[in-house]
Amino acid sequence: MGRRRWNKKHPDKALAQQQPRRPEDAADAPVRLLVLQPNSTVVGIAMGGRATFVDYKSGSQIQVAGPKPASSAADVAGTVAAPCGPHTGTLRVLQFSPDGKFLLTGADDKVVKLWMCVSTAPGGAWHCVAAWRTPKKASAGGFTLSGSHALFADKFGDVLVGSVPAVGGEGTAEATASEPAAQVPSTLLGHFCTIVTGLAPSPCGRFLATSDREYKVRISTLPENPLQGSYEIQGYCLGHQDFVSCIAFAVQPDEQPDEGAAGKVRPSVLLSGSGDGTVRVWDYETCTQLSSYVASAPAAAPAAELEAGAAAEEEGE
Amino acid sequence: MPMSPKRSREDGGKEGKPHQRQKTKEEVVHPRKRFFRARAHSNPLNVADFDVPTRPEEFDWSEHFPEFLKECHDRQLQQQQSREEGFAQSSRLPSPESPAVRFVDIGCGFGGLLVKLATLYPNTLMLGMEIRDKVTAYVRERIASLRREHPGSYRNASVLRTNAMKYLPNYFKKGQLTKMFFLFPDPHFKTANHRRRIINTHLLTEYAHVLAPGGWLYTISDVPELGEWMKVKLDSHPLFERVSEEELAADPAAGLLVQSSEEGQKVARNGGETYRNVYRRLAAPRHLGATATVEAAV
Repeated sequence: MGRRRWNKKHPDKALAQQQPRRPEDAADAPVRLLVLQPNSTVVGIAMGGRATFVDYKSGSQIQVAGPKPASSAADVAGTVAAPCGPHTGTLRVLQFSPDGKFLLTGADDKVVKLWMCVSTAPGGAWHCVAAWRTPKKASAGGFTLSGSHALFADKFGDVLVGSVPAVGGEGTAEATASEPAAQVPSTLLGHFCTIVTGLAPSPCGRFLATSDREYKVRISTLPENPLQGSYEIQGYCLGHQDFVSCIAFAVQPDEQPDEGAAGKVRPSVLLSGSGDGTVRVWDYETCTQLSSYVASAPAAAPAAELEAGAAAEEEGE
Repeated sequence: MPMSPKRSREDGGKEGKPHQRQKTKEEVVHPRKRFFRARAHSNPLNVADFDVPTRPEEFDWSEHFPEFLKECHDRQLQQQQSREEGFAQSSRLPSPESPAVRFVDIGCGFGGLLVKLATLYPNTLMLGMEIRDKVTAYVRERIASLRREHPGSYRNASVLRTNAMKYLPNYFKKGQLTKMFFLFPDPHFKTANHRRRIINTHLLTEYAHVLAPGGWLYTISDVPELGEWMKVKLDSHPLFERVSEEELAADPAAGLLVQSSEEGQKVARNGGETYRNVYRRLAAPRHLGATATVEAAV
């Protein structure tokens, strides 16, 4: 009763609320993703609801087995001519595990899937080994450093965790038989009611950095067993004036993970790109800003967001 | 007006007659609630139309506590001067750090708890946070008129209009607060809305971030199911531990929970029962049993 009366008094406000405030906030804004497979020469590109994986050295395309059609007479692996997407909605999460053995995909069909990349046969198809149902559409994803768990965030702001099944030597035959049933993941942590836009484990393995649309980058402790949940916040990297679109860690190549900050070893830093057009560099243990670079004009169009995102990802690899 | 004669009668006993006549001339008018009526509930998920500081260091607290901070600043200058002049006594005194807000009343409503706490802890800065605009304006007027009426008191209390569920880390540094109060929070009965409850696992992690180790978190509700929910969530969070009844009995703030706020007085008038849960923030996470972690989803 209350809402209808209010809308009658303020018809302009009702209209303005229905339309998104900015083009990139619209539900069907185009999403373009690009990933490199570690220890390999494969590039993954996702555009809207379709993903393509190309080996850039040989030029051959890797097939990713999509959802089987109702009449499942055809073979699953390698016979699909056109790149059919592994999901039915817009792809929003596309990440490889640190060792390159697994691929994590998440889309607007509220399912996050884990694919095993069979590295022996370069032309072989990748098949799904695990799936999780998310209550809302997934918005970001990643793996822990050891690749033991897959982390993915949804539009509620929750970061969920699923365990990656152990890879046997040749135990892939049974996995191709059927699509695994979607399980319910455990919750790791949550940003309150804001979309999580980026997710990255720290190089030392002790922390997880997550960014959201409320201008915040949060550093939380990542426990040994993420299924138990993360309850301690290391700090917040605050400074951005607009939504944070992406984060990545820049690892100094000569740093040993178990060495302290002794000597002249430069520590790893965290980079974040934002809709305010800046890319900022942070010391993630003390959550202090080290420097800031203007990458583009503040966000007025979706193009600005992607520029800042591409810059941060390049520096982070 | 029924209020002003009562006030001058109270003050008349302390000061002499000429003073009393002076007081009645410039009577302190307290705000009337009826001019600040607002809906009881406000959606915490709405996009903010108020300003939020980017970082705690950038927020100017002197707007809220002008005399308090000015006094501390003067004391700091004095100490610095006397140290420069080489007085031996000043080196004994610890240099006073710029004071920070230590107590926060989340969802302070019409400010009942805040004004009682202000006189109970006159040297501690405390802040009320409220999301409704009109109610915040009422509390601001109330504190201003109390400061005029009792010069020297109520300088340590203030109110802020903000969404505490989203923006706490923007106002407070890590471990800054020593007490947090959640009096009669919105129960959000529908299961789909349970994630909006102000005590849930994810938000408790944020509260543990702004609370110093050893700090206390006070909650009270008149809804039995909500009281049980808050107890379960706090018990299953490894950074919080229940405070014993003996410690509660000795704590002056705990005694205020039931009757000090307007909501509490309404509950008492209707003869309702209240469920109090007070927990302490631990310095290191405690080990939970296996069953506790299963319940901790949201």
